[in-house]
Amino acid sequence: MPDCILEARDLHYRYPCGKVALNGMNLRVSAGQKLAVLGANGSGKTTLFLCLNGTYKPSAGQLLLKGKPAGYSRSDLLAWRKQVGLVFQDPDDQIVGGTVIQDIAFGPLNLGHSPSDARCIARETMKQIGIPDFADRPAHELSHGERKIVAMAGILAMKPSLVILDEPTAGLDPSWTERVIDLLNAIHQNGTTVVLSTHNMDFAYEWADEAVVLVQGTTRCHGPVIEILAQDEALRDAKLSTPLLLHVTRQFGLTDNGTPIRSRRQLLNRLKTPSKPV
Amino acid sequence: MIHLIDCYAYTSLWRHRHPAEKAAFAGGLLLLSFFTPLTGLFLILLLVSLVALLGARIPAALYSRVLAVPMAFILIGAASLLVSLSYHSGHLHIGLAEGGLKSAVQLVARALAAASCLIFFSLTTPTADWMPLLRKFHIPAVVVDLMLVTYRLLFVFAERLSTLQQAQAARLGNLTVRNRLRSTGLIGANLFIRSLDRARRIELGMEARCYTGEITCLPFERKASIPIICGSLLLCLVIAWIGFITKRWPYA
Repeated sequence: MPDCILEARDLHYRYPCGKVALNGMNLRVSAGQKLAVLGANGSGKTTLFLCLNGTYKPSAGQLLLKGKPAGYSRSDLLAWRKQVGLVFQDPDDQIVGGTVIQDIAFGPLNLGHSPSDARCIARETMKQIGIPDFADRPAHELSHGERKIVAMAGILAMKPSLVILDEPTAGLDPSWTERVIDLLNAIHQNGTTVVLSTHNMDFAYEWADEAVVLVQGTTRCHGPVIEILAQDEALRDAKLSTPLLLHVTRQFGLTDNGTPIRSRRQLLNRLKTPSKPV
Repeated sequence: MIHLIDCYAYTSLWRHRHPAEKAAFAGGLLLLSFFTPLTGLFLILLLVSLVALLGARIPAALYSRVLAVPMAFILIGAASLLVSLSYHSGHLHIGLAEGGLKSAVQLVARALAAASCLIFFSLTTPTADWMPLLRKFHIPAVVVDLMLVTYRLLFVFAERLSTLQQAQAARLGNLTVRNRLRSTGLIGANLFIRSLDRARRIELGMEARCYTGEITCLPFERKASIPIICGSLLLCLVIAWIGFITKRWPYA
């Protein structure tokens, strides 16, 4: 097994109102991986994520951070959240600064960086993700897409080794979606492990290495994305759909020299190749 | 109106001047406007307006529009000083109050001078820029943190409010007075619940970024210019002195 940086074993969580959100959830996150967490609305994705950064304490089960049981003391939580950055689905839940640079510097300042260092880190992060001219803009005047990027920048500025994103592409137009995907790929290239939840099956199929399917607070299956998304029954249980590309390539027996076709570009290239008739 | 001021401040020509410089100028004159006689008040109004319009290039239309907002209150206040009511031997007497004109003019001038200082400051300095400075004046962190988060949430709720109003209008929720009352009540209830929910969620959001009970603010990048601050304070002294020597003038 490669380095497991975060592991959830048989997590249970019940909200104070009595609703059971997690009912024996298992998850392994290996270093350097791109993991997609898939599940219908209400399947426990957000609750799981809030457990994974120590916000919610599961009522039963175990969380292991780099193999050691996670602690919930103040200093443990601080170290935990420094390693595991959680980007919320609604950027308004996360943006606290009045201006973009004040907001992005919020995390680094909390980590004890001096104000001038925090400013440098914030500027660097903004440059890295392609919003260098946002610094002095007020947070409330940003569009939804811009706010989502700023919320991500706020977490990335803390340089976590694992970033968890709750539906990073939800509600974004195609161009912002593409920007977010490019950004995710770039931070993954830099060695950050990325976990995200999404309802966009085509995106998950193209982007992820591994996928987890959640059904009503439990883990239905977990494995390489190509295998998981081919399990029609599991997807049906989870009220999810098979990615269109997988549908088409399976139907017509298309592969890219034996490897599965996972992107639109691959499919087009394959269809354009005359030597291999469809 | 508040949104207009806030929006303009972020694009103001003088936005990147240090808030302390602007505060020294506007704040000094504001304090002075509480007690200086009429000559001083006119000087303050003139000076601040000139600096606002020619220095910071605030459009005259915007400046006068914002200055007009408190005018209604000021004029009502002045009118009540001007007129005196009395009740003698069964008759109501209405007349000009003794010295009423002088105090009414003073009130208007004082209020306008003070308002111009505040408006100059708020049109050149966005809230997000000056609030962090409060910590320097030993305002408790809890208070400043609350102000910062409140400022942020104000816009979140304003957005929510306008969406709710549009949604209600789209379902004809405000056709009759009765409907409108009911719709307003529903909005109130909805916003209340949502504000509690949002408060909880933003707390989680802050915790996820290692919030430990105190927001550390990024100080302003540039250093405040000491000559400008000293110059502003000197200017206040000069106006105070002019006010003092002209105190005996009639109507001053």
